[in-house]
Amino acid sequence: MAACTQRTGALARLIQNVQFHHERMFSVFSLRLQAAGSGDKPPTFTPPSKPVILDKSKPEEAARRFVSPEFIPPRQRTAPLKFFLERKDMIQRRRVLNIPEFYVGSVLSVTTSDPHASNNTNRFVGICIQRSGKGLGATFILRNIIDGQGVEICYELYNPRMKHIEVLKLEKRLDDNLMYLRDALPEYSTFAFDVKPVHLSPTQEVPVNEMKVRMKPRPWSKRWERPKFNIKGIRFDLCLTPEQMEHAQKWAEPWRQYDMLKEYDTSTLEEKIYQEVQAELRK
Amino acid sequence: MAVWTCRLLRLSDALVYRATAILPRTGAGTSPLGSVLVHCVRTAKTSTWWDEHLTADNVEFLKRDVAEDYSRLTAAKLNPLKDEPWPRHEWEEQSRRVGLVAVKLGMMPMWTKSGDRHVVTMLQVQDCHVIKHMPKDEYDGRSAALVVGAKNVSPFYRSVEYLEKFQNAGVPPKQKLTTFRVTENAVIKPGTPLYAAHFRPGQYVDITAKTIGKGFQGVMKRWGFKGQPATHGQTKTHRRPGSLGPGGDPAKVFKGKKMPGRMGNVYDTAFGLKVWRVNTKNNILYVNGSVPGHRNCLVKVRDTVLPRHLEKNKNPPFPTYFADGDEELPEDLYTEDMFQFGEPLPE
Amino acid sequence: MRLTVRALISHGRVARRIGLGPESRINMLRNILTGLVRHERIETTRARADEVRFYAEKLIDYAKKGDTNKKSMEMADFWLTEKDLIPKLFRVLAPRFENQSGGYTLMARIPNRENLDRAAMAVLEYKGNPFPPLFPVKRTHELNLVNQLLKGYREEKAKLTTETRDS
Repeated sequence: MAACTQRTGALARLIQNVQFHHERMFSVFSLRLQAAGSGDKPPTFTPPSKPVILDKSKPEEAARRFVSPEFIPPRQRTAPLKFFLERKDMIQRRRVLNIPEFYVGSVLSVTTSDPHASNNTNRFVGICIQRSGKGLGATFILRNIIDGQGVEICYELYNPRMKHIEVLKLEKRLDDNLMYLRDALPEYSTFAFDVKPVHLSPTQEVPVNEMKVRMKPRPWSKRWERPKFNIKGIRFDLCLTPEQMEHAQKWAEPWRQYDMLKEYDTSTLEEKIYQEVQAELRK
Repeated sequence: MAVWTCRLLRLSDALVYRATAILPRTGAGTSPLGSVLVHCVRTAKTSTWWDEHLTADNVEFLKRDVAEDYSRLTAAKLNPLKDEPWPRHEWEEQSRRVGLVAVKLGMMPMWTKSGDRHVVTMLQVQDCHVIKHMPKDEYDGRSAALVVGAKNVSPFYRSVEYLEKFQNAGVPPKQKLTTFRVTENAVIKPGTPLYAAHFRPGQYVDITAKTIGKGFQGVMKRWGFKGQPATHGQTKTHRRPGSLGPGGDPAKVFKGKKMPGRMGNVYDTAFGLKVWRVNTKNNILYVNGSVPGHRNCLVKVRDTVLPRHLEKNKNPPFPTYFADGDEELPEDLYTEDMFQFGEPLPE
Repeated sequence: MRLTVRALISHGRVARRIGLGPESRINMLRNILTGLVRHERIETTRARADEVRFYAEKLIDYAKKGDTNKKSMEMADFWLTEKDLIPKLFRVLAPRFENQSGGYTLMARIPNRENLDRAAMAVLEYKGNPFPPLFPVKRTHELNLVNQLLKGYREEKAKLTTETRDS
């Protein structure tokens, strides 16, 4: 008897499913009919608006505060007016081109116009391994491995040839500079071109990917074990002996962290620039 | 007022020190020899700080007064065309205009509409005024000249003779004075403010400034010599100049032989730099490429003398750009092929 | 001589090269700074005094954050080689400069050293110390000619401005 009821229950579910499918088909069909009836134009598919899911259970959090690092002027004897003027141009450009928040370690897709390419555009996907430059000359480097060949492209953020920047995966890594990926196994810098972007809500903290990479055999382009690089994202235990690691400490400069002359505290500057940029962009 | 108080200060300092200096002299006069020989001893301290004998109130008052004075003087000169202007002439082929003195701010990249990247130097024209007009016979007998100054400075550390020059023009004292040779039809009344809009995008300029001092340098850095190989049996000969010339026949080293020595810290001119963009609000010139001098140094900007660019410098604002004239300028002037950051993406 | 931190960063040079290397430099400055905190007025060569002055001021800035702050405790622990001075820094010096931002030290040039190398010397002190003042108290020149003339001018000008405002 119990088995019988189970079977009928399953049947009912099947029927429901079928009905549901029919409903969807009907609805699409009716939409098309409407579109065809409303004008003489060929019927076009208009996707329904995406549902916005609001999670009311959690308390409302403030959105992430992010100042792009090129807005912070370097520590030097230059009149602040110069940086102000540059910021103005950068904001002008950001009104036209959406430059999203991204970090070293994020996976980006960049579309540029290229007069030598077919249909004049070029798209590249890769991991951002370095951000450098201040002001309008800011650049970032994307790295990927294509057909077994490592490719790195240095993009200028404010170049007019830049068409579209999309963040496929927003995350940070353990280090602020991933140049050591050149000496790492190729699997760590291989990224498919056709991945879908992973959405991260603007109130969420940016996740830190704590992956540690395995390296190719030495010699490397730089001695990454030296303390001046302060690299945390390499599995040194696989490629170096403890004696070698200890030997690298010979170049350590433990007093440097106490040298107040080397400090450059940008927190107040950052706050001021954040307010200024936000006010300008809202205009 | 500021200038007069300065003069007053110096006078009083002299009085104070005369009084103290007399005392030892009288002591010397009554020497055992009994001679009345008065010998003047130049004391080491002949001058004082400007605020050494002033009360704190007076110091503060003077500083405030000078600032007010400067803004008043600058405001009084804002309408040169209404204030008994000198006659204006039309531009001709052979005319030479006055130039500007500007502060070098730094460099930034710039793109053309086709996407090519150039670098530009930003020059700020800061409190630039014509200070003096020297007619032909007073200058050198060949052409008239205009003295232009820029960047206001405190009057408390300048000599009276220096301050007098600015008093005559009715402008605040400047850090830098430069002379520009001009033709007779391009003279401007002293006290006229000069703006960055004196130059227009597409024009070509020459820029003169003092280069960054490098100290005593060897021939490789100073003259670009090749040096010697690092290995292959070289003994202590890697960056040395090598031979100084032939031996027995001239039996001398020729004059002007390139040798190690002091490098930099001399005046240098970069010729034929294109003006890409002019910001009329903040008075910024965006000039192609690099410019001699360090950041924040004062440079001299004038119309180029290169014959190949004369064609592009035709019909400039003559004798200069007047802010109270009829011409209404937008905030930024660009050359046609320059990419403006606010405009939509070029295809 | 250095005026501000901004003025000293030129050609990428941030600090004087003194001592036998970067570590020796920091250690030397540590010892001098410890002496300064202990005695509150010290005599040393001019370059060293000038160099240590920056660190002396920054150390006070850190000390003002309180001894519960981890970074400031680390800094005090590093820079004061004699550990009995750490309470003094937080309890005596930091409260002394509570209402002041910057300018905690005073440097004065003194004649060159006589005996050894005739090096230029200087005196460095924390302000508000119990010693007699370095400089004689500035005489007020209230009654000299310039001050009196300026005072008259000031009053006259103030009167003029009030008159123009009233009318």
